Amino acid sequence: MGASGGAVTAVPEPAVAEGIRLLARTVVALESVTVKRPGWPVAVQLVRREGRRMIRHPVMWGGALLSLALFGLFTWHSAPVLHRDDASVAGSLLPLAAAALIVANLAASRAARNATEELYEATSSSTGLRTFAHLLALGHAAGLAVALVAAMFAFMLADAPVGTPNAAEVATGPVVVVLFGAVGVALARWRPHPALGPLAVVVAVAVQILLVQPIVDDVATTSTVVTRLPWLAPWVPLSLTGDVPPELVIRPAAWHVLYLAGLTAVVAAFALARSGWRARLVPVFVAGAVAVALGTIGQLTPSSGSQRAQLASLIEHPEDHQVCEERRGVTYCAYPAYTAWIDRWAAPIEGALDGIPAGARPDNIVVRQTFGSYFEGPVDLPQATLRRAMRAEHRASRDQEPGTTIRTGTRWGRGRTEGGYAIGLALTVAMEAVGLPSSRAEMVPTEDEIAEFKTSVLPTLDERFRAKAEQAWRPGRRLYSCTTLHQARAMAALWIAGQATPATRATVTRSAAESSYGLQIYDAQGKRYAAYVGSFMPLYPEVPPPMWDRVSMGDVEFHYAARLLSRPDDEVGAVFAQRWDELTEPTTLTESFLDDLGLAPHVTIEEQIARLPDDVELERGRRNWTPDAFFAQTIPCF
Amino acid sequence: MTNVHVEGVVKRFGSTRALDGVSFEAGAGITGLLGPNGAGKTTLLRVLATVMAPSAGEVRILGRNPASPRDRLEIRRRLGYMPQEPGFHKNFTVFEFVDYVAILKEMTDRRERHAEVARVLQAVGLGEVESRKIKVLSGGMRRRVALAQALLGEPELMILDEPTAGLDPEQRLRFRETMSHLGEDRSIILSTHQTEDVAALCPRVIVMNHGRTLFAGTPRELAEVARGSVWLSPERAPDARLSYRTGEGRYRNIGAAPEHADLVDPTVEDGYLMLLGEEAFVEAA
Repeated sequence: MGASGGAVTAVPEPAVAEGIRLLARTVVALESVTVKRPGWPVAVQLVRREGRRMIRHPVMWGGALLSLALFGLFTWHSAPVLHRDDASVAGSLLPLAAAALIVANLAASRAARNATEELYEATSSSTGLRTFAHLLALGHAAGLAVALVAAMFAFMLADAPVGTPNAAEVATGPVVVVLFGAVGVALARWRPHPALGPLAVVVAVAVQILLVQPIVDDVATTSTVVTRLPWLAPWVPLSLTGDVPPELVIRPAAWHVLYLAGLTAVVAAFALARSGWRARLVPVFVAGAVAVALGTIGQLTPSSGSQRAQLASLIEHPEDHQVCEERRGVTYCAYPAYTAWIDRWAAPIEGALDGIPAGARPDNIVVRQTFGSYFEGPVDLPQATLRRAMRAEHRASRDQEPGTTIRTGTRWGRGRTEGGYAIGLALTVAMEAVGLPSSRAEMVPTEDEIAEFKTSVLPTLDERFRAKAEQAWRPGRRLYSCTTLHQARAMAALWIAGQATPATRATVTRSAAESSYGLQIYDAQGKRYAAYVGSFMPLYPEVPPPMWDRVSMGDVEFHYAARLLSRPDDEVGAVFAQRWDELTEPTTLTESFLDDLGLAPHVTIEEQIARLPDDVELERGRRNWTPDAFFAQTIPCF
Repeated sequence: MTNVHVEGVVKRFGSTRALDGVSFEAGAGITGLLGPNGAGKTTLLRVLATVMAPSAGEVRILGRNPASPRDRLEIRRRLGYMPQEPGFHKNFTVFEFVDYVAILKEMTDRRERHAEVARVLQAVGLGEVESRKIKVLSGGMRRRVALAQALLGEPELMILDEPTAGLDPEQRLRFRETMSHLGEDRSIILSTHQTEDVAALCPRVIVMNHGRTLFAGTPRELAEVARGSVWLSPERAPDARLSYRTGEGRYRNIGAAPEHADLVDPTVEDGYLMLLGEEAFVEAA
């Protein structure tokens, strides 16, 4: 049956119909000249809607929290150095970037996944416009990233930071967030599948790890293109394995931001092209590709000889760069960016000086900031400079010249870890005050000391170590190391350092509590054994005093010192001040001070061994590794 | 005024011709589209909604040619479309979803848009549940959400694919009320399996089968197709093309006159069944 009747009119005759069509076409053609496509007003509304949904998404909040946690991991234990931590801030945003990828992917693929494409297609807003809006909505994610960056810097600014952040380093994090979000949108336009976002994150993490892997290796210099390849990754850490002074690394952060921005433009152009958007795409794509090319060339170009020479000068001629300041007889020399840290260095040193009787305070202490000579990551130094620095380090370790120079680095503790840094400075002062050797030059026994040693110590030594000790104790011979075990001055030095600041006090007290000094009984193969556990010195200063590795301070004195820290400082200080001359004599035993200090004698390892039950066997070979056995084969400091 | 002009439209999917030379015209008011499953109704509505281009033939909608991008844009600005299986973002609230579509329909003034969204939700009886997530709504309520978005902006042309599927009787009555009101000043093309809806709502009806237009006329004319072939009898007529027992205990037979039978006035349903022939009877049985 043909169409007929009612309001559904029959198809007109061909000639009439053709006339109607022609007229209609003319009218429509005239109108269509002025037809405007939906543009910014719709895009703005969509951006608001999609942006709000994006930053409210639980995955974004998870990413933001992980970013904050990562920032804490990077920076929690170190005093803020803004020209180093700016890179950490950027790296901290990687979880947020991953979240942006997933959430943007879910949002952009939502219509396809929920079968609303047909409905949306019938509206006047094209898929391209929606893609454009999804891309612009990444501005909300960037805003969240900027807010996190601001929070991170606010956290650091509250702790008297040093240095100045690099704007390009700071921008890297938010740009990576936008780039990852754009990748999420592009993937949604390529294959709208919810698993694709998480999968892309896994791939991105793998790419990031693979590209920055060379940084983990012990690469001494970044003077080749190959060592610059990590810069193709979204984020490049300063170092993954240890400390690299930021001053010795030339980071092409601005080129990297250009590279990332170019990638973002290319990816966005791809997403729009997949959505059928054609307008002005070619310029965007070309601009993005040019930015990627320029950024790649810029960031892969090795540092120049003159740049490396400038950095070498920092190490080889620190006096040309450092600022020195004298306070209470102590000289502090710091690179300009770190001069604010002189206050941090001075606090434990001045605290230690206050714990020493006025006439006995040392006045030759120098605190000098240094970059060290071994770096766990690439630095932009000439190989020759590295070799010279290592030789200088070796000479310093032999410490040909007497003196009390404390070399502190480009890191300082924060909160609980500050004491680990401060205690080293305080100990240097205290050890100097009580007469412990501060150089190997001071470790040459006199004739009288040799005579004393032969009459009083040598006969007590084990047969096996006697010959070795006799050989070591010869006139003019510089000793390799010595021990302060049972020396009262060691206890005093540890107490003086401990009482210097609240941080040093907490460090000594905590180390003593955590040190499992004594014998430990354990079961093995049906038998019970006892072994000496603990170290000879359970204190590990982050900034060790000179000769710290040569002067073995026994843990008996350490535990006495820790117990003294719970007593009033005035009382303890008075006892030490009253008997200062006697105290600083190497031959004065710790036990001679116990009564005056009100300390109960420490139970020695030997006494503990004597008290072992019959069924407990002392671990084979360990008998000679008790502190006294160690003392027996180590030369006492004098 | 002719708002929809379709002439010789063909749509092929591979070797299958979903539309095989469909021709009709529709002006203001409601046009019902009837046909069995696979007749090509949804394909035709997709073509009319500009989401699918025909393989051949001519389509003009609201005086414009949807093959032209500019015209297509103008058509879409005047169109309200409810697909057969509208998807939903189930984590959106009812309001959010309709509001999102409103943005896509270029309603960029936030205050005006929200007022319009509230209006269409009220019109479909969803005003009370606008803040509920779509995932907690029943199937019928979801179809009303889909209908609400089609009403946005008071479009000149509405294309509704099975809008009453899944609605309960009360909802269907409300739907009819809404449609009859809207149909007074615009074109509405709705496809349905419900001949009662067509009889109640549509001044015009088109019957399709195998991608072709079998009938275009009024519901009364469609019913007249079965004039003289519908009988009521005390027993089932063995030769009837379709016979079923009514609630009154008598058998309604379509086909040749059985013994002791009374000839009765045909309905739209009877006409539809007669029109489709044996195929419709097999489907109805």
